Amino acid sequence: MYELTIAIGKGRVLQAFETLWTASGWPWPVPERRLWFPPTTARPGFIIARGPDIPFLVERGAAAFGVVGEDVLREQQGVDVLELLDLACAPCRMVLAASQPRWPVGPVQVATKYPRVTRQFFAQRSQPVDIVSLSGSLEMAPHLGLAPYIVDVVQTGRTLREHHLHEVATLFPSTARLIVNPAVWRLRAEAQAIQAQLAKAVKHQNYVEELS
Amino acid sequence: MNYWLDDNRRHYRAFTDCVTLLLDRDFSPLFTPPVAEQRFRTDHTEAILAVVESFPTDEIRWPLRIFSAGPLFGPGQQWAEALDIEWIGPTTDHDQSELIEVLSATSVVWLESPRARSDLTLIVGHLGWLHALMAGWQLDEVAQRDLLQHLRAGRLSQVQALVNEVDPGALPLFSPQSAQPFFAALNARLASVQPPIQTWSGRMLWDLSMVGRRSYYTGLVFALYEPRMGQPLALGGEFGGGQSPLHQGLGFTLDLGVGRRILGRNLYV
Repeated sequence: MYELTIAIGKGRVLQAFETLWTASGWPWPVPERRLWFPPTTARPGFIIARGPDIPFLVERGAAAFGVVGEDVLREQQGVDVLELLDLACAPCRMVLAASQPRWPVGPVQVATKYPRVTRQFFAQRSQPVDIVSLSGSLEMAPHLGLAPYIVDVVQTGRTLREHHLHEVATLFPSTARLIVNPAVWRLRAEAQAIQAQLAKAVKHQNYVEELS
Repeated sequence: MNYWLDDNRRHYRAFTDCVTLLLDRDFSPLFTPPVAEQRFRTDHTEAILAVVESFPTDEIRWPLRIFSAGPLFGPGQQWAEALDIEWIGPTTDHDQSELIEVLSATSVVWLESPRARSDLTLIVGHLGWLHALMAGWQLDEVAQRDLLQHLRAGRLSQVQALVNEVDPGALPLFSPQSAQPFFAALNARLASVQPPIQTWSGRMLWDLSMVGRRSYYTGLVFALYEPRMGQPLALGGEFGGGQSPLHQGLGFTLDLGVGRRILGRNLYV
């Protein structure tokens, strides 16, 4: 009987994680409209939540594990969770984009929902930055005159191209990560077993991808 | 409403039990501002040191035994009520034993009965041993700094990769172990290390990935967990390394919010 629960970020992470979940020998619960599936004898529990909420859910112990993009973890530094595994799925990259493929000169205005990583990126380059905080639809910001540059996560870059934006720089590549509540990791033997099962599935998946 | 007020009363009684215990043991309260120079207090120890520093050190009898209570602020809108207990200045083995006694006594007030003490688990790491291991592995300064940064940020996947490169046999030292296998693996690498804590009556595990989030820890670091809680009831350790007696000592912080949840058995995991 499983007792622990894994919280998974909606969208691309959820889609990509299904393969690893089933490769771990667990039946994939059909989400329908439900967002919470308690643990059963056959699989750990399962919570579907917004990506940015996953570290908080895990830190507070509402879920033992979380599956979330590295982009979210880098933005939320200081959350008390342990990062156990690079799941090598849901790849994407954090990019700086603009209407013209030109590196900004002087103080730069950037629209983003990742203010921390954006500030760090420009601080490392000693370039003053003015953050315009938005929670979505960043691609519109340069066209609406909110900011000439955006920092956002892209997978293929198609959305950027459709909005006539160019990638100026890659801040970092990102994949989905397995995180765990430190108390659960240090006190519950089941946590080590779940991690080992997922690590095996990742290894197997990497091997399959190498073959193909 | 009455249930909520009862809950508040039980919480406050446990808090005052802790304070009474500290006053009886000759600890002095010290008040620090929760907000200063437009910055919110994130740590009692640093705030306490800033106050103590304002006195001439030759007037002080070390170690100072201090406690401080009040909110600590985290990123965003988060905050937690905390009680911080410190031995500031040069300390002895006796002070370390007393820390364990005080940790035990102030944590047990949050449990339903003293018998539940055996449920509490102390996870212990040690920065001194970690530095000795890294020196033994002949890691350069940059690699040592990287490993420490990964540990403080909780990036265990990176830690495992780094340790696996230099000493795969040391990997179990970076996950929780009971004393016997932990010290067997540690003593195979360092000269005769003895467990520094002998008097803890509950469950105790050793784990070098426990380094604390604060960079001032230099020796023992620990977290105390109630197994059904997702967050530690107490976090603490040993700090030192500076010439001034001010910048050495022992201490821990009790998270009163976690204590309240233990009392109310409002369990999530």
